[in-house]
Amino acid sequence: MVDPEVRALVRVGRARVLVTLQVAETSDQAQRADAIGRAQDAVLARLPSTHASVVRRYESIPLLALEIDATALRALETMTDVVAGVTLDRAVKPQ
Amino acid sequence: MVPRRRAPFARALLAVLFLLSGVTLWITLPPADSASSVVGPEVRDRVLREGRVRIIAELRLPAGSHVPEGLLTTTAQSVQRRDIAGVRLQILSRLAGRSHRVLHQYSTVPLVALDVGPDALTELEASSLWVRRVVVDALNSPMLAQSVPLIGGDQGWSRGFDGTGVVVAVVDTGVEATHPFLTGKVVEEACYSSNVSGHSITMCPNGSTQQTGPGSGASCPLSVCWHGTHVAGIAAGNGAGAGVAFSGVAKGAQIMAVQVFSKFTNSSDCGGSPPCALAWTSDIIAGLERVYSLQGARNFSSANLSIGGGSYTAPCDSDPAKPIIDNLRSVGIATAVAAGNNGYTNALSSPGCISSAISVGATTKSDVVASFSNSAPFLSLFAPGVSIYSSVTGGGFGYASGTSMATPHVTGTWGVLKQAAPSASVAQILTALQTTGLLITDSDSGVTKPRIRIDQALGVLVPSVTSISPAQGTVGAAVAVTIAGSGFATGATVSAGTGITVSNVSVVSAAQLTATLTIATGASPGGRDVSVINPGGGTGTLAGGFAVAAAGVAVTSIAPNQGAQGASVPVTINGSGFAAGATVSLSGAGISVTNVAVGSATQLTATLGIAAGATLAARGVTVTNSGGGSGTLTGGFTVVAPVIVTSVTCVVILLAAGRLLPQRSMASVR
Repeated sequence: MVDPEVRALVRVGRARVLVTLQVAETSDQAQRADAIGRAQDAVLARLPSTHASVVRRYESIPLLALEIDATALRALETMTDVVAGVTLDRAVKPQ
Repeated sequence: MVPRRRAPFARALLAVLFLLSGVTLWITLPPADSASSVVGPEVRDRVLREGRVRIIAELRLPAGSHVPEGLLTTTAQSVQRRDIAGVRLQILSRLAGRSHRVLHQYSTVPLVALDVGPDALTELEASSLWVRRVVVDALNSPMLAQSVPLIGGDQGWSRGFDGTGVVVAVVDTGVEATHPFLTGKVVEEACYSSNVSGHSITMCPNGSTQQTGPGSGASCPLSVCWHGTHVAGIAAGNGAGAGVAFSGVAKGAQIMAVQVFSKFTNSSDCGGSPPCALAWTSDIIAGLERVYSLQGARNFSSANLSIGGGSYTAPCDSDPAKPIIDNLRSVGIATAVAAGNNGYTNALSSPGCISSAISVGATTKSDVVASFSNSAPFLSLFAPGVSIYSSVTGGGFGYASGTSMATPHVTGTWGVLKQAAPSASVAQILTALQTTGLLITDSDSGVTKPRIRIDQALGVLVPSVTSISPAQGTVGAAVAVTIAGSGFATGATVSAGTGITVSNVSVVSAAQLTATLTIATGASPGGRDVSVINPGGGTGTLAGGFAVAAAGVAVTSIAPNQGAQGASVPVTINGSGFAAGATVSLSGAGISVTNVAVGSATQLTATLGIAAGATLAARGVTVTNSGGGSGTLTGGFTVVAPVIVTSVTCVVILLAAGRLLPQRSMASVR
């Protein structure tokens, strides 16, 4: 599932996104952290390196923050085995 | 569904931001009264009484009502600012030659602050074309001093719950750790801030995009960066160190400062006024994950996100921040998030719209929903958020209004309640707050939600024990007791001290439970503290509420077991449960007991003085402990007649030459 705003942004350049990963649920924290790391590695290995850069990796949640272009988005969309969704990394303000 | 916005300023307060001596302050004005003249009676009274008066004049804009800038395009903002400046110029030119002094001019709101004499006031009264109203420039009293008691925070403190031992995480623009209100409180720091070409520049102190350790959570350098210090002060500031008479909600709590804002330089990102501070969602998530990673080392109660954007008319559980909020919640850490300041009556901003977050709307000190506050049917809680006076960068204090200010009231509340109920889950504390809060109805939407009341929530989370009946039992006994008090929750357990096993606990009501106390045979006599522990760990104790009495006394034998009339008979009594100081008595008249000495719990000695005229009969022997309890051996001792010698028979046996001599009777025994 790709956020329409991401699709619109990559048409004209790069977008900062949050990629939600599919990771099997487990109550064992260490196993889950390993699974998250493997999923992140799998995504990064399949992304064309010149079209995406890592912003942040997370240890406890199945998420990757990336900066991507249209080519990288297309690659992410093919990774249906590991990518659950791509949303815009929004900037929010103090309330 | 489309977000609905409440009518701007219809019945609301007008919040005005201005800068004074580098400290960010807000002033609130009462709503305009269309039936009154431009100058209010209080202003007239003041100028008559004192000759001069400080006033704030609200200007009448040619386009009508002022619109908050965040709702306008950049172009429309410029037009409104130009209108404000134009009307202000008209007013000031009309005041020329009148007794007045300009105190403050504002560029984004239609106000001018003046010190005026009677003639200038008359001129303002005559300028209704340009002046909407004139009100006294009121002095605002410190709102934390009001908002904390309003939510029952001071009552929580008086019960010993002020957040001591708990850490609250403030994920914001950083915290000025050296501020007197916050001295010694910041125990963890981190920074997550991003360089994004054409958009943002990191504001982490080391210039990197992430930093942890001392100094990393320092306040960022932009003008809005007072925000995190203000929020931290509301949640956990302590007035004692700052020489002020008010404190934050969890004044005993410690703080983790997480700076997640980046410096945005793009005009469109900043709504036309670069630079500005905004926070990438990815950086907020990183900040929250840092909190989560430290949860084993720090006793976090809550994380504060006075941050948000967008509008959601339903829970936004596909938001990428939900998994980390869920992680925190799974280990008992609440994430309190601002509902947003758009004035929506059916929508919240993100990430406050996430169902597992604790979304917080703002109310006034009069318990009315603040004009700017978002609310929605899925809002979690209300808290005070108008004109809150708290710490700001530079070591001072200032007023601010917003759901940003309401949120740390909840964050601090969580710290207080977590101290009181250490193992309570987020759901348990939220339920306690929601079921005990003061219900407030948003008149614009009809949405009714609870405004937090710490004292009431404590009453649910922390039981109180007032009595136990019966209040004592003997060693070895199983005693069914009824415990009375308040705040007993389903699943509560009972402890009654060393040597007592508690079973069959049944919570009859919030005010009564029953249990069986089984007292071990080896339990030492004496008082025991009885505690009721609710599932969240909230504990109520009645000191010395239950007493263990010595075991029951039993007499099994006495030796000798008879004595003659007139005799003094030393006896040894065997049995169990004999305690020092025990006394011995025999049934019937005529036997006195002296010299009782308890050798052990199973044996004592005594001397029985049997009167000469004591009835000849079997007597019961009773041992009584001084602390209560006695045992009797029925017919254990018999009084017999004394032996009287009336004659003596001397038997002499002479053996001689193998012959037995005849016996001679010398006496006879009667």
